Amino acid sequence: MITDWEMRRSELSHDCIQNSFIGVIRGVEGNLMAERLADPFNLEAVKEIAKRWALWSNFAEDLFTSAIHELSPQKTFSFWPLSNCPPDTKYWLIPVVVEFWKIRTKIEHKLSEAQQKKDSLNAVVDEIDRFLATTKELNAENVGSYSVLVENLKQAAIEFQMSLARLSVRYIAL
Amino acid sequence: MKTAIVDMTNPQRGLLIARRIKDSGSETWLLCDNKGWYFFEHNDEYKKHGKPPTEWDLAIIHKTDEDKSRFIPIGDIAHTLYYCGGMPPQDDIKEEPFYIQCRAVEDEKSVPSLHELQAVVAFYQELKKSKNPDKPSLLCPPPSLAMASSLNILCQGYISAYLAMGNETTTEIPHEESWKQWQNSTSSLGNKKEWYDRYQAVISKEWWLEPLGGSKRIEEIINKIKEEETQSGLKGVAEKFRKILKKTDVRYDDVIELYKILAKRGSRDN
Repeated sequence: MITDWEMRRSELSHDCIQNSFIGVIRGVEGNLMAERLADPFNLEAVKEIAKRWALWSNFAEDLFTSAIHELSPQKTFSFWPLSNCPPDTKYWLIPVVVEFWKIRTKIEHKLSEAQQKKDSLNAVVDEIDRFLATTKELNAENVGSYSVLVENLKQAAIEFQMSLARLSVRYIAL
Repeated sequence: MKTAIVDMTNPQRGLLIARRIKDSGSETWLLCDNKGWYFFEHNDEYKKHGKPPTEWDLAIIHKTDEDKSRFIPIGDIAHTLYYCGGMPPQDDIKEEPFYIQCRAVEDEKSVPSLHELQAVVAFYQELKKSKNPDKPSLLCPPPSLAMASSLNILCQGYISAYLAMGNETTTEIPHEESWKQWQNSTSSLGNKKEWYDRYQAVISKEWWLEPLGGSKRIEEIINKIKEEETQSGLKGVAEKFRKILKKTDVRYDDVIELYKILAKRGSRDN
């Protein structure tokens, strides 16, 4: 069964980070490599995704906070047929399978890794924000440092997306 | 049947789908960049072609590219089928446009097979004649696997009680390392007496049958499991479960045989 949590994870990973975030950064990288410094896209598009990141970051936070509750096998006992288990079976079987699930899937480790990657991405977005706040146009003097920031942003986004991929239900299902 | 494929995000994925749709006997055109339409001319070669049809029987579109394709008009489309690189909608879609709902189509491995696409083409051909033909499995959300998940949990309950009693594993067990780690938690999850009582419970057939519907409904339960194993590809579950129920007490080796099949699902990369 694909849970609502998995759909939200997939939306964040695929639609927001891969298609929007990384897609925009690749476009900017292409421009910088071709020395199209005057294209307003270079600054505007990054400004826009940095703004959107604030929303996505909160979205990610909610996702991480709810992960164990939403994904744990405990939920299975609310639905047929395990909802028919007598209370004295549920009393011990639920904590046993939840504990085993946590060990087998390493869910807590994966969540903490994803949180770390999110924090790293936050830090790079903050740096980019500071650069954009003081830069009106790209020129030969500032393009070098901007290119480094854009590359760091891409790497941080890719690593965050990879940590989200490790939380896919394919890897943490019962 | 004239079919348009639109995928500007991942042209290779679009090309693979287009090839398979062409192989299923459809006249197939591909829109995968801003340069225009491609058409299969000889065997597997596809060439730029200036004049695509203006009317399509079917357009298979990567959902994210729906807006991008406005720069190159597609024309009139009789039926639209969407696919997503991320998770597709999971509700039961009863009206067009349909989605490939069975899975995300994110890379070459998840592109539908020729067989699956043949079923899709046949479905849309049938849709011209009747209003409600059966949707092929590719266009349906994945099965619930309620039975398989429940049996997996019951197996885990049995194995837990067996190991907590101090018994040793005499046969290869899926997730062996995790079970070894889990054994360190047994004392926090119950004392010796509790684990003994639990073990006595799990070796009884009634413990397994009660949540599934009770011993009077064994055949019905087995048939339900069989139905799900066909959908999920977990072949052999019903047969192994029947074996468990044949003996007076439920035996460890039989439970492990069943658990081996069930643990295949969701065990990648763990």
